[in-house]
Amino acid sequence: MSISNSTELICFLVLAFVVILGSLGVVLLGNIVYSAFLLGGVFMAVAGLYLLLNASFVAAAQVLVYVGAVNVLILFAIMLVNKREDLKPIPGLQLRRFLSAGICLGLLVLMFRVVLITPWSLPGPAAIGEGATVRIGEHLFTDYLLPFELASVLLLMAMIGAIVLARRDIQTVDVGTGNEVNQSLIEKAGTPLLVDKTTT
Amino acid sequence: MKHRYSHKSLSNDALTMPEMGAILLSTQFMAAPDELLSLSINAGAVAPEGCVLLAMLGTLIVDLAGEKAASRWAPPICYAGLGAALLLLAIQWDTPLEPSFLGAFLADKLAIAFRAVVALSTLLSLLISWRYAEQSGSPVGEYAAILLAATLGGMLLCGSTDLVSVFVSLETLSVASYLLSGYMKRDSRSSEAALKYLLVGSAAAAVFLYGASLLYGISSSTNLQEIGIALLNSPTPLAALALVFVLATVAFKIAAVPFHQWTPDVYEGSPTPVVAFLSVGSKAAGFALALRLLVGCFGAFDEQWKLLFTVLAVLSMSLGNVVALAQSSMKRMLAYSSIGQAGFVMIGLVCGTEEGFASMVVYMAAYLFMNLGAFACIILFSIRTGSDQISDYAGLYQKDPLITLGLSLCLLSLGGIPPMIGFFGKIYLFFAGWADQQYLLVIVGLVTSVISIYYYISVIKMMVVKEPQEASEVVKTYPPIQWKTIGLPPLRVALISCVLITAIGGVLSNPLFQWANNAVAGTPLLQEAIELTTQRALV
Amino acid sequence: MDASLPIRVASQGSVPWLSLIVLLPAIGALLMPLLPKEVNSGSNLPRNLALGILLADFVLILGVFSNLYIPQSPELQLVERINWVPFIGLEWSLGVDGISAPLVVLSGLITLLSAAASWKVESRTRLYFALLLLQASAQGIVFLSQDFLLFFLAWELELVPVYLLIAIWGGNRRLYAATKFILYTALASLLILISGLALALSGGEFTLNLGELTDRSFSGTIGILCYLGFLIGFGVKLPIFPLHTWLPDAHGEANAPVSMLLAGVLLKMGGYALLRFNVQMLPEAHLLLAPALIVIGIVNIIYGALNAFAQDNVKRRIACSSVSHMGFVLLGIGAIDALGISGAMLQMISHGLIAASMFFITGSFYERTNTLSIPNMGGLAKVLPITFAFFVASSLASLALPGMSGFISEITVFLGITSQDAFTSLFRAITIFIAAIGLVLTPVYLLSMCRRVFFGPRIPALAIVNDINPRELSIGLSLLVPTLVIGFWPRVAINLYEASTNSLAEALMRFTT
Repeated sequence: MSISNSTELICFLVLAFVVILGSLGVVLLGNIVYSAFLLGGVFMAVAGLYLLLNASFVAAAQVLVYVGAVNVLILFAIMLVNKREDLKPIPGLQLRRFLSAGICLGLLVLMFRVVLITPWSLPGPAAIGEGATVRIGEHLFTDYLLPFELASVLLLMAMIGAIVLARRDIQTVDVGTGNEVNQSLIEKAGTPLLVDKTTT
Repeated sequence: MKHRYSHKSLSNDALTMPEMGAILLSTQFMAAPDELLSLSINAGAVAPEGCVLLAMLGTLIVDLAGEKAASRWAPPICYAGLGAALLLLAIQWDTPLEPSFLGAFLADKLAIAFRAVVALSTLLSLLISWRYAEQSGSPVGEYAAILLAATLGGMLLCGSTDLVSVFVSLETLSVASYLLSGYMKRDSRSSEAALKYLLVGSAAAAVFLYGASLLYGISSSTNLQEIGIALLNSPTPLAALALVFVLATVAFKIAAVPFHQWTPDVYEGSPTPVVAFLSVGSKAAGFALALRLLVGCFGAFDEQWKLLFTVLAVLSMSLGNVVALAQSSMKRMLAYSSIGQAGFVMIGLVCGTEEGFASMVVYMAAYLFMNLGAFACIILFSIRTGSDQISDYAGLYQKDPLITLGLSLCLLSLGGIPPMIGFFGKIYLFFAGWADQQYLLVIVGLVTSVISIYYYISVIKMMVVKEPQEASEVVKTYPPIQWKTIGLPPLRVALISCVLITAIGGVLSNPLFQWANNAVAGTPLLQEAIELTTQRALV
Repeated sequence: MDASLPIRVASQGSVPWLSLIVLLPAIGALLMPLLPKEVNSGSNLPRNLALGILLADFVLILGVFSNLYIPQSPELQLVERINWVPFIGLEWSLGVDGISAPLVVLSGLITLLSAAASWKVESRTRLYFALLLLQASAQGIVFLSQDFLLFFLAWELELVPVYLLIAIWGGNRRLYAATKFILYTALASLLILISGLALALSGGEFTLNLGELTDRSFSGTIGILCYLGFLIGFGVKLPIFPLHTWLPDAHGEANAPVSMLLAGVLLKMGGYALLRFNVQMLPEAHLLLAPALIVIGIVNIIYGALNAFAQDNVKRRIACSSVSHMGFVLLGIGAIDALGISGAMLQMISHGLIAASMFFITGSFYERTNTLSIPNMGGLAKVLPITFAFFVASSLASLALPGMSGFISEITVFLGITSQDAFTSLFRAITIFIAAIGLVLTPVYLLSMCRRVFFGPRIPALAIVNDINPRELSIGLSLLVPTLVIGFWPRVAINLYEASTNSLAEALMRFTT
């Protein structure tokens, strides 16, 4: 085993260890702030994995988008909502946890088995390295043109939706009749699904 | 290069599947960049979606001028956009088939039929939305824009032939649906609906991505046709896993049991016109996706996915229809009934014969009108009374004959009573199922339609049979009927046209059947699948 | 499912008479909503329109059948075939032969009379008569259709009108009765559809045309299974013994005109379908299962009669007697010879008339007494002499008094069974013996009802002012006179169908050897 190979292996092992431990921490830790920071760590480690695969563009995108944008946004959201609330304990929580753990473990075993028995056609295509950015650009403007353009519509629509949901100035009158309105369903609540905090 | 995919060359077996795959592979991997750029992308195929997009931008622009202007101008812009889209779809029907965007999109007849269903369902949902949106005080312009974006996603989903475009259009449809279901932001029910939908939907999207990544890993391609060829050549256990993941997403989108748990809460909490769209447009797109993915891609796993879908269909039909019996809210009842209805459509999917596919198209088209007609009626009722409890409909015949008649006809049609359009659609599904020896499915379908007749007719019983003195409080204080308020005339147009088509469309349904059969006959993807099935049957 | 079939019309005359007959009431039903809204409940317009249309329809039926229909021919006549939705094999295909012709006449008459009897329907008359007309169309199509899917469509179409007719204008437990009716019928139609589909898809090219299906031979398991499916499906309508429980409820709770329709027409749809599908289309299975049919028929006769004793409600008692009488139809069908089938046919006609007249008379005195409970009535003969006369006359007809149509038909059925050599003589003897017990039971429960209602001490609570009026008199006579005519001169009815039942029996005979 050459030095480059063993370095790669060591890097991979370290990164994989970080990813696995970090994601377990995200899911299992009780404090949501810890989870959020750990998530950032996991994203970084995944970016490292991309680097190992010689996909530098994807790694950079991963850091910029997931760590720079998504994770920061999550942290902001957590910090803005600083209300501590004591939630009602869920009945049979322990049992539910065991159940879901069992199902997830089963899934994991299944995945392992499938990975092991699948005849992989190795090695895959050779990494292009620096040419990847150009190739991605080409793809985005040729065979992935449609999803690329559609993604812009998706983002525009998501932005509008976010604004609509977040803005405070709500309408108080019906444009057609001038009656008062309050932006809730026309159908009166028979039995509210959630306990309405504003009235109680 | 041109017309390589034209209808003739495919159906007349000029190219066998592996050969075609070879050509496709060569374009994707060996072409030099300048050669790639000189290829025709054939963007005209998405011209209908372009109209929808323009309408969406138009509504956003008029919305800048204020709520009054939006409620004045947004409707005509939407009608124009969707109308133009439908017109372009009609023109596209007879044009020769050519893949566009280098294999990312294919406007075959199947896609055109389902896109038309999606666009039409949006048009009708919008017609019945205006009054509801205004009466609940939600901004109309943004509402229309988001609904149009959902339509855009749904329409593109119907024709996508590439995993990436499938995913992006699926997400456009889904994200827009989450936003729409949470649109009544002051109502905790609506927020709950949106949150539930978002969580379950995101999980489904993640599962789909996982499955898609597995598929890419197997075939080194994101093109569905190439994936199909790769799977045919080497059906690995990994592919079976990918099948399960992809199938879960499809089942989520069409709300098949046991992936249905989000449906009742989302349907009850969302604004009713949105529910109308979700139950028809979104479902139609989901079925188109199912056809593309399962029939087009997983031909090698024919037996497996058919078995899984048989289970899903049986569960959907029985659970949907049985649980609907116990509902007291109209929206919840229709939610469960729509689960059952999706189960009926799955019979056609499982058959995989010419008639099976055609019956799917017929039933989707019939379902579009009968379900939206029913929704138009219950929206009108809730606009006038603010209730959607079934018991509040008691004695309605006296105060509002139009709603009573319309809702009765639509519900009877959903139950499959002749001579409504639903009867013809259902019979076609059952015939197709029986001809393909899906005895279990047909018998479950028949038994559950009898159950569905029971709960549909109990609503009719509420409205028609109750004497004036037994009428509910809501009906006793029913407001005088008037149609002048802004937003009500379009609702009336939608209601009357849906009810009319439901009532007499069945008697005059031959063109619909002809159209559906043409759609199936003119779709190479389905023809190949049918051929494959018949060959297997012979072997 | 060949989609390229050209649309064709093959009518013997240039005028599609049968379509006219079945569509006229439906057109009338569609006109109903256009009538002015009933401001005061006494508006006669809907009733007059319905009466006019049904009268025109009945005249049309009589005219067409007496001029264009040739009763001596067993062939299908006045055939009309138009492709409707070829993808599901749906054809607008009508035709008349001896099995349908008398029943079409009967249903035209009963519907007309039940519209005329609907004098006391004062609420929501437009809806009431629209439903009645729709039902008239549906039953017409059932009797005349030569395409399985068209038949099934009409069979289902009749569900909702009858449901609403019972549920809105019925008695106290009307909702229960109506729901029971619709569930039984819908479940039954499920079996009918499955059996029809199975036949259409087995033994050759897909077809739903009844004639083409009849020409095929369905032997073995598939034939027997479909036969059983049809038997249960149609047996609900007829009704057959364990499937009859909806009937006393529906007949008891519906108002009198609807009960007339139920007993006079709906039950005949079951009998007709049994003849058309089970006997004509599946002769081999029928030959195999005919003894079972006879056993069920006997059970029907005895069970219906015994059940009638237990009923305190006049209408429920008559309804149970219907169950008993329809047992004779089963017996006749099971006798697999010309005489038996002819008897079954005549029994359907005669029971249609008699049951309708009994329900009608019951309705007419219910309008005056406002009760149907037998213990609450008594001594009505003095105040309602004409009603009494009619009631007794109908009862006598019902218990098969010689000179009435019931006598002829039941005797024919007995003769059919006794002359059938295919059964062992012991079997025949036992059958006749038990059926005769049923025959003896009928007068007991009917006449005891007459006695308790019309004789005995008069209940003072029943303040009755007037006897039957001329309108009711004419309706009653229109039902009783044909009963008497058939009783004295059965040829008038038998001629209508004899050619067809004979050829049916011949076809059966061909399979016995």
